[in-house]
Amino acid sequence: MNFFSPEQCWWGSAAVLLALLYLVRLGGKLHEVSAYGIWREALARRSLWRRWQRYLSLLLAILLLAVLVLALCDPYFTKRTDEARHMVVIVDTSASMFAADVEPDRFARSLAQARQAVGAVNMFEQMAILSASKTVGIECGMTGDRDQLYAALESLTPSNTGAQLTEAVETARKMLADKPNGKIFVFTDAAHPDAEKIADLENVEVIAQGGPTANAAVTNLVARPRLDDPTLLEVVVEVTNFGSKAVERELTVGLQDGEETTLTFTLPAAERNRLRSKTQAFTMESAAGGLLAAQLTGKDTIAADDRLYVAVPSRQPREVVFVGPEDSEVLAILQAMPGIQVVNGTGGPDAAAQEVDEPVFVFHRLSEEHPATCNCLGPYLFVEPLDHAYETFDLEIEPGETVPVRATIQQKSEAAVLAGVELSTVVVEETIPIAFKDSTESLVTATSGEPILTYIPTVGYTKHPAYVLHTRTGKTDLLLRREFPLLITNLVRDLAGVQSNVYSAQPDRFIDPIESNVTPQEIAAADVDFVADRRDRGRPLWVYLLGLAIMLFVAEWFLFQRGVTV
Amino acid sequence: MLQLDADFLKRCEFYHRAAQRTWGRRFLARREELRLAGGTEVTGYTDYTSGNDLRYVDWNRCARHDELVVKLFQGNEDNYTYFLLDCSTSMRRGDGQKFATAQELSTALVYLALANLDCVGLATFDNRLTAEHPAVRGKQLFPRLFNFIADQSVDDAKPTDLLTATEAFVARGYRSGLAIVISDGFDPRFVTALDLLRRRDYEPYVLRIVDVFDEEPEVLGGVRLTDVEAGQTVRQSIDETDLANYRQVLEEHREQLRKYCSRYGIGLMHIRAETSVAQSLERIVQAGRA
Repeated sequence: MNFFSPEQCWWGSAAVLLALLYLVRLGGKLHEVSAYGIWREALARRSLWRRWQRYLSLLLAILLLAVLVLALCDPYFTKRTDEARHMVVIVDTSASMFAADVEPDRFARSLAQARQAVGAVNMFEQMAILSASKTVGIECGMTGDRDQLYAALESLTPSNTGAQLTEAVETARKMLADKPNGKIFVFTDAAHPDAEKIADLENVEVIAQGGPTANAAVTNLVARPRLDDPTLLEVVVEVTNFGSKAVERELTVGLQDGEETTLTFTLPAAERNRLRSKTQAFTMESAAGGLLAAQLTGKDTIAADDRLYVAVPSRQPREVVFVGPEDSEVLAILQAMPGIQVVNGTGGPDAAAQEVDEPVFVFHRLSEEHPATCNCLGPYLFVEPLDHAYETFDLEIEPGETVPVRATIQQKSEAAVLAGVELSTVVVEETIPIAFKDSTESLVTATSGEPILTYIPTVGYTKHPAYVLHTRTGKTDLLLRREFPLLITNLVRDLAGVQSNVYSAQPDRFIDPIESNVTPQEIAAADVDFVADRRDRGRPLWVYLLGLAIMLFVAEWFLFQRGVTV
Repeated sequence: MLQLDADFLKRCEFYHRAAQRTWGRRFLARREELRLAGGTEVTGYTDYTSGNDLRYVDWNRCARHDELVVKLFQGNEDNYTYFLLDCSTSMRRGDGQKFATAQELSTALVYLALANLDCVGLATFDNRLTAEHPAVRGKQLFPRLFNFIADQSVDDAKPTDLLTATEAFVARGYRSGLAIVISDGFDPRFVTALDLLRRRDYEPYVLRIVDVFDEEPEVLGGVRLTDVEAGQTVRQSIDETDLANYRQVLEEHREQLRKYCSRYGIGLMHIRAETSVAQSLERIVQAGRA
């Protein structure tokens, strides 16, 4: 046995005072007696009990004092400290804990059981609380203060991310590395892929909530403008059944305040390591853009994964200032493209540019009739540059000198402007060699090595990017191919600053997709008893000593104050 | 303070007459001693045996019946009565009621004795014989005896020792007679002293004067009990059981004294100090009739 407050022992000195109070009799009414002998004999006839009653009372009082002093010293059994556990409670706060297949949901049930674990912490034990979501959080360090532990539990909220359970267990193990009788309680839904392995670890108890249930989720939502008509939107939605039961759901896809499309479908039950998904494509008209949503309706285990959003920007036709021959095929093609609005700047690019906000300049076959010298500031697309007038842009072009190419195009780059553009079958007979002062990047070359499409990050003093298409329009079938309008559109949109035409939903914006899989791993049901020793009621010894002191006090009171006689 | 007044004498005279009706000439109904000679009244005859005084042979009867018989006498010409008054500190316990009662009773009894033509002697004692008055006869000397009694007082720290006092008393060689011991009777050698008196041909008579505190003390709880004579003090917590024990021991003490007195024909009278002297005298006189 040991004491928490041994310094309180000095209260024991009160025993001397107590004994004096009992033995030294002060006061009392004085009676003169003439029959003193009679009195002496009468007092001598007192029973043994009566004679020792006072001393027995003193003994009880000293015992009472001793018990009280012992209680003040707050004793404890050393054995209990040796056996005291150090526990770490890991609460899975991943999104799958939203699952409401148990009442009220898995997270609330886990918290309730975690509270039981906290309630089982006796005065010698310590516990820490970790939360496992995208990161491992130490909500409460090692402490024996139950209020602090309860407060830490109350502060937990489920996240929309996955759970780093393995990392949490590892952190817990590090916390318990130098502590005896370590124990880790993991409160999770066991949907984590490593839950089974964690459950097999030594000194780790996994308390799982929930069971096989149905859960369908919108797992992917992608939208992009149609290549031939950017005002139209191609939407692809993927819906997956993560549950172990077949589900029938209604999927609604639509733009905010716009057109909606509804589809009803049935997804078979997921099997082990094989989920059942369905992908559906839609075409929607939305030049103005907006918030595109895919929503599953119907009762589901996790509601948070039943919806995905994607923001679709406005895709109004881009205005370009065309500078070149008015009868050129390139101009005709540009004018025919729905995503591009052409402003003819052949008469004066600067004047035309003033009519357009953030113009993109397309220079085609410039000659003396089409002076290129201008103050045009903006990104540039040079198509078949022929003239010296390109000196303005520090391009060194030797007019008329073309390079014969006898091979097809080799598409070297994976640049975004080439998305959906397949040029490998395009035949190019001649290209225009250009010497660049600035650094360039060849995106497309002929199989013989001559550049076909070059990207210039900064052109001369203008510091604007530019694309240069080296082919001669009469010496290639590129203009006849359907890839050409798409390529020109991509180049113009890229120069205009539109980064990508493919809009994907951010999956973790609402819920980590992996968390939709709410089917728990097969873990042996753990009948966990959080209490270390059922016989231990968790009360400190001083409480029992106080009870004993009260009994002694009552006994002493009856014995002495009430003058119990036997 | 004891005072001699006409009313007191009148009452004493009244009790004297009552006592005469009860006791006759035998004060306090004392025993008549049978005497072979010197008596005042012939009470019977007995056969003559060798050594008998020939002066007491009834020659007339011898002449008529031809047998020698000796006359038996009763009574004495001189009856002596001695009062042994306890003046120890125990008689002064409380407000001194016990000693005052003892004084008044002894004064009244002195008067009765003198009126009965007895020779009355007085002695006071505590742990020794403190004062004596020689035996005198005649009512005209009553004031002197009264003053003697009235002058007695109780001093502090004077324990009772009747045996020592009695030894001193008998050593004086007074003539035998009635020895009235007026005391509270708590002396442990009280009976031994009576034995001594009895052996010296005195006829003891005990007037035991106690007060209410002696008989029924009302002390409970933590008290200090002080021996009024020796000054010893004891602190005790007294409860009902202790009081019951006290009453039992006291009763045993009284019973022991009663048995002793009964065995040897000693008169014994318990007088409560709170009772009036008249009532006490009445009891004494009536007890004599029984």
